[in-house]
Amino acid sequence: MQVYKLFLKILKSVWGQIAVYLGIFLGIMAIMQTQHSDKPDAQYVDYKLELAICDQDQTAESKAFVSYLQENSRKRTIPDFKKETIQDELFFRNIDAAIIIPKGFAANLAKGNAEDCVDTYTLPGLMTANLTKNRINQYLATAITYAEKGHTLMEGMDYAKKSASIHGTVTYMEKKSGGRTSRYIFFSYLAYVLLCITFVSGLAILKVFHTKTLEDRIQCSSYPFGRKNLEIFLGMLTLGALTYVAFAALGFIYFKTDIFTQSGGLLLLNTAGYMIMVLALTYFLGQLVDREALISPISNIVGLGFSFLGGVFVPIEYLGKTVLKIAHFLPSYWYVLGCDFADHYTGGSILPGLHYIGIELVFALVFYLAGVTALKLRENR
Amino acid sequence: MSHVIEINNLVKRYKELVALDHFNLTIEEGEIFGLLGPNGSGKTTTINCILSLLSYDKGSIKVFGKEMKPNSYNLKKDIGVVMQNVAVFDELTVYENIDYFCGLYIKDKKLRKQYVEEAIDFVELSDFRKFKPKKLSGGLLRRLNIACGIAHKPKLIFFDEPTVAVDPQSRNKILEGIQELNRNGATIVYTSHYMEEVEQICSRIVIMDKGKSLAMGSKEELKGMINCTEKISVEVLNLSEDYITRLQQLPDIYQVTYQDNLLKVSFRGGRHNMIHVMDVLSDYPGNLGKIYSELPTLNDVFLEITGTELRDHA
Amino acid sequence: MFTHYLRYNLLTMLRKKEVIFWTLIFPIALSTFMFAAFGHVNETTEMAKPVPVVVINEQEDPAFTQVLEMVSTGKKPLLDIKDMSESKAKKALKDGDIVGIYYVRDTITLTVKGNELKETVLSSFLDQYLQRRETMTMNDVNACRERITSHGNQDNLISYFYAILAMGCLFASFNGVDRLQGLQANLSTLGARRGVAPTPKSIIIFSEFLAGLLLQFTVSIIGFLYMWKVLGIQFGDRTLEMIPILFLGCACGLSLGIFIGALKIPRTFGGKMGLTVSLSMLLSVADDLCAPNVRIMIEHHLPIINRLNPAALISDAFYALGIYETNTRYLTNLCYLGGITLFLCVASYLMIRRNRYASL
Repeated sequence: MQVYKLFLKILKSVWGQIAVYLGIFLGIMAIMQTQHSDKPDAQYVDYKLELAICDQDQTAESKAFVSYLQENSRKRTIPDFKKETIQDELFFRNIDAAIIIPKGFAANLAKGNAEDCVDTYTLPGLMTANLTKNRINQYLATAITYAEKGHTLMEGMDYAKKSASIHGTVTYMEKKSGGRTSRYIFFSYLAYVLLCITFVSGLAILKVFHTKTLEDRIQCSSYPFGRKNLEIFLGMLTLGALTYVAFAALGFIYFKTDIFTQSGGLLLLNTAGYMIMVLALTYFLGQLVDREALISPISNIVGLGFSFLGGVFVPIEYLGKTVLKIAHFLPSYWYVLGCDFADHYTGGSILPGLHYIGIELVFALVFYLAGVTALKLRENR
Repeated sequence: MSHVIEINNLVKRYKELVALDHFNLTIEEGEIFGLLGPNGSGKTTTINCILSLLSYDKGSIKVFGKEMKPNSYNLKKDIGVVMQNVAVFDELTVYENIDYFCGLYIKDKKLRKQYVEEAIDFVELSDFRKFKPKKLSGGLLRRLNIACGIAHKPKLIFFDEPTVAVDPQSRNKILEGIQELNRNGATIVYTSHYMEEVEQICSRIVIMDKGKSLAMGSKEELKGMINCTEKISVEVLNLSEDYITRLQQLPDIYQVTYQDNLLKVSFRGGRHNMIHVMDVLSDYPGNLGKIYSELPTLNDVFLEITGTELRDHA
Repeated sequence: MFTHYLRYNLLTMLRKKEVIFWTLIFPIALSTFMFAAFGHVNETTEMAKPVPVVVINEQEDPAFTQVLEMVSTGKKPLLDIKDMSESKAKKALKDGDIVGIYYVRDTITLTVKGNELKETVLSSFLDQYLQRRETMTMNDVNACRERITSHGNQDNLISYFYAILAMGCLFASFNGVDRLQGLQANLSTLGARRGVAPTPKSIIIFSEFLAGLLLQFTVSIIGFLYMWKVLGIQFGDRTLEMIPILFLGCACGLSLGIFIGALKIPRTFGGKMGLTVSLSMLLSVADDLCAPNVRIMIEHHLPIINRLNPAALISDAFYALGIYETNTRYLTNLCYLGGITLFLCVASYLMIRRNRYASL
């Protein structure tokens, strides 16, 4: 099994680059864990604004105002309230708005003067800016109006807070299927990582075997041609199996028993189908790549292209109509649909899931045949 | 004549392996000096130490009378190197490659252009000046390699196994070219494990093995160091011990061996040795095959000093 | 002699088509993918535009109708009221053509499909109407004094394009490693031949650096022009000041490659390229290339990393140019980039000058 052993030796030599992509994946996972929700709400809940609030007035009224603001929003802590810091936090959407209640806030309000009494930092033209300001304006308008009828400002604020609890009835048209779970994110990002890792290792190995002098030498030996190809095929299978098992194990570590459910099983099956497609694509590209300098650019262009246009990095519902049409020709798109189906699967027919896996396998066959054709063309040349 | 290269007590180790073991050498101006030895004897290591590419553990190296260091630019401008592996740019044509390397030494554009043209003529690559290295055969590539190393007309030129993997026609041209460079005033240091080349062109030779200098001198001096001055070979079937005994009693005899139907009779001096051998074999009942006389080779020198043949290691 | 080196360095680099091709094609391809994928995402998810909604009046509510009229007309309408039957409205809601349906009955209710910002706008509007009706608060108050008056592109997705430009600059490091391969005797015979030439290493390295920088900078500019003019990415109105960022970014990337090339470990060219690729990817990912908000998270917890990451410095310089009124942060980032470049160049030179090797 000389050729197979050589395959494994070369695989061992590229482990460093594999480790980098693994590290990138783990890093992204760690970040994405903080930016999603696992439990979809059955009842409608408003989008919660992310607010950073600084109370420089420190009066009972300002505290009441802060309490109102925090009740229906998410409190965010930022390093400081310097303009530059706030601009950074706004730009990166860590906060939707920063509100500074200046000194003299309560005194001004007590005089009935609410104009420009609060400093806001928002991004112009965004819905979050309008929502923030409307809430502030509505609250203070109600409080002052009530106070003008012979009550104290504090009573006005209490009244405003109470009235803010009046909500209209909002219902969902149909049962909300839920947002993106961390399990979905894990498996969907695998579309990118599996591609990169398999390309970086598989293409490097295939490039060695396609070096003309080495190819000629093996061909001149008594090693049967069919056996050589079989061992390369086994090597590719080993590569695929090792990668798949490694990430499946990682999935188990992350999600524990959540993997051993019907939906978890479907996710793993979907990923296996995708892995087979990736191996076939690697085989095809391996016939075309003849220089080491091309491996990394090809890996990243194909990997990132598949991921951006196929709905991995950007949710499918945000993709434009033209891009969606292109996405239909990408196996990653079908893989992501398969992940979505599997992640929300709670029983019933699994045919749609199998349908997506079937499409991935068709892609695999197409790439494999393209690879064989390319190989024959190269040999004829 | 002044010393162009002086090496004193040079020691170079690669961990436990001693590549150069208290190696001494002097090379005179105007010589073609050969470093002859099997693979791993330390020839290329010596060259790289002289050129200040390799660090060494002990000893000193002087070139043109001055200590050679990596920043000895004044010394380097008069040195040319033709390395064992081809060192050219794949992206540049033949002309551009020679121009580039010549430009590292010659600032004057007009002079450089003249030198480049002369170098191209010298290696007979005029028809290939616009070719890129990938389009050249092995022999032509070697010629390009040489042109890049000598275009700036250096006073001291190192040739490190320049004829490896080269066809016989190109090899002869290379050797002739080296001799012409020497006639034009360059001191040549030539390393090889092919004794025929070294014998053909070198005025003085050092035989090396395992980092040591085994013997040094002109080829006549080296051959004079050994006992055998003439070797007569005769193809003969089933020669009996009696004949071998009679041959061993010839005057000036050094050694008689008979193996694989080939009789070899070595003499230490003497004259008309062939006649004496034929006299002994005149009453041999069978037919004799080829009969020839050889003068000793450097391989014989190496064999006598080390007990193994140069060819065994090559 | 310097011009002789420079000329041939440029010639050899230009003829190595695949390196230039990929350092140019990669950012162009990536920016095209990104633009195609989410070039207009924020416009649909964040920007305040009239929210399309349908009102089904099962009962008459003149007050609500009047309010709807007020908020759907004028200069900055809040709602875009569509007229259609209930069945068509339900289909439109399912297809995403409208965001919600107001049902005017004894109470006014809202039906939606999701709970993103647009649905919240509808729900908040309804809440405020009901609250005002209850409290009889008629007056309006403009309590908010807005402090942000900056120019530039506030669309945070532009940070992806900044990251691509930064990554393009970092890709100059491949060129750096490649050039140094041909300079070191222990890595190539060409390096050995150049090592015995009577030219100080400083001149050789400087000419290599300059040639590499000219080429990489040209490639970066082409990539930038593609994003700006072809894709129409809004980089703000200070585009001329982006040029020095690209220049220093390329210099930094190139010097990083030269530095890696000069290191004793890894020993082989393949090992050095592997290290370069891995490092470039890591630095780019830390600069928001693959996932958002990585850079700001690092800024919160370990800001020193952002000061040493050339990709982050480049992106931050672009960002500062677009967002801030003063130049302090922009100039500070340029200084950091320059400092890192200088350090790497000097360190590389010290490592390879007057070099004798232990083995070749």
